[in-house]
Amino acid sequence: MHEVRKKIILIGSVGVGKTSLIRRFVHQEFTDEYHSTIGVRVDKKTITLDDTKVHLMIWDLAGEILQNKAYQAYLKGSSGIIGIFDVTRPASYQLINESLQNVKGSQELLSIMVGNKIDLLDETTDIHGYDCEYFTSAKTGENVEEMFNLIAQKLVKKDEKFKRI
Amino acid sequence: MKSSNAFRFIFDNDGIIYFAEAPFYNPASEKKIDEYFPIFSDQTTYDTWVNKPIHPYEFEINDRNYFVDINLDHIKKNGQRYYDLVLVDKSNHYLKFQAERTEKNNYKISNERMLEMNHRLKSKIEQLDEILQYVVGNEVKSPIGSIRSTLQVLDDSKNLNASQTQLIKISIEELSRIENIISAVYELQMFSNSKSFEQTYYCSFNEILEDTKETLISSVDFEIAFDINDQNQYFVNKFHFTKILQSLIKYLASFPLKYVHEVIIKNLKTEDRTCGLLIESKADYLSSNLNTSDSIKSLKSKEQDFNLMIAKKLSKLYGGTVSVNDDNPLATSIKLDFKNLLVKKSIS
Repeated sequence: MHEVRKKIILIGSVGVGKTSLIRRFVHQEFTDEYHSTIGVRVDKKTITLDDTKVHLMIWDLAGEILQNKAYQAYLKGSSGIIGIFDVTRPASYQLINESLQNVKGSQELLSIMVGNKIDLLDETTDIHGYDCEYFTSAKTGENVEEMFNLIAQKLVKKDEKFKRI
Repeated sequence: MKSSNAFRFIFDNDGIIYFAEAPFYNPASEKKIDEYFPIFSDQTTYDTWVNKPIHPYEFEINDRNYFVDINLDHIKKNGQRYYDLVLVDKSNHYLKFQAERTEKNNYKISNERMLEMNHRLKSKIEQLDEILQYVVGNEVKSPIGSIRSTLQVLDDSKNLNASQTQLIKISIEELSRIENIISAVYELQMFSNSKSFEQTYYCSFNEILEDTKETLISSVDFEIAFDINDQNQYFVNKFHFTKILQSLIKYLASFPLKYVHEVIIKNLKTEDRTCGLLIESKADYLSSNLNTSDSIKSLKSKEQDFNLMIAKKLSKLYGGTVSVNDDNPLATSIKLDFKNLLVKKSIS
């Protein structure tokens, strides 16, 4: 069994549920009470994928940081980036979509898009227009574990590919 | 650099702590820097943060949450390079800031959700609009007209017994009624699309009546007289009001079997009424041989739905009511009542 350490950054507009997703994944907790993230917070979680122990360092950035170029500094040393949007707020999708395109253009980062808060969907909401890897709910836990595992798997595979080359 | 509410750590490139001043630090634990502060878990990025602010940084130790400003610097000792980390505890300050920002963000979130809801409602209305345009369009109207014509041919053939003839007559009347309703809805639909409340402004009844008369001249052959003593200006869409009056005048003129020779429009004055109009018609029977009063009453319903419906619907937009008094077919009158119009009183 070998071990790797990976830095993942969660970005997204304010109130899309970045902190809640991390809390759900790392601590299996959820609260409906919303507290805006101030600045930066980092959590750790170790997962095992086949013969690899992956130490994930999950960076939670305040939504406001996304609105200025300062957040690019936080990308240094990152392996992956998760763009989160709130499925009930298309404006949050547009913002993260553009930001992620900019990040992809400037850095070689593995990225995935995630639509959160699917527990708030009603029959009139159309989510087919969203281009993303996962729809999650930090509240119910739906797809949260799968989403973090997916990015960890992709990062490990990327390393293996790199080693082979 | 250090103050009483600051924590200080000195560590090397591997994260091994050599010096610490912090209440939560335990020298016996041999924890590395990243075990206290996961933000320093990646050695390769230590230098990124030297002399660069990362604040506020939030971390949790012993079930307590801290918000700190971080200052990281290099120091050299015995030819060896270390990192000097100072964390200024600003938890109280940032907790207040967090509360303010949470409130602000809550507004932003609910605003974005409302915008989305509006957007969805708007598209729903547009969809309904398309459906309505189809329902009141020729695709639906034409078959109704065809059925009515077919029934008319059957009725004219004289090969039917009395009850069959009666049934066909009723069916033709009902179909005419549906055609009129469709035409009225269609006209309202087109009308509301082309003229909106954005064109609303203050105007007087005299302006509205002049417009009404001007646009009706070619389609009626009777006199339209005004007896208006109201100089107030009302906040209305002149086009809407002209249409209301035109529709009501056409309604009065469309009675069968009688000839309207004059329509008089007066303003109503009562203490509790913001404004009102009375439209009176004077008519004669087309033929003295007919039992005209009853004949008119029996025929009017199928001929007049269209114009009355338009007038009622448009008046309703302004909280207005339309009351028809047709007890005397030769002197039918209509009372138009608006109780809540915005009014700019005349200077005089």
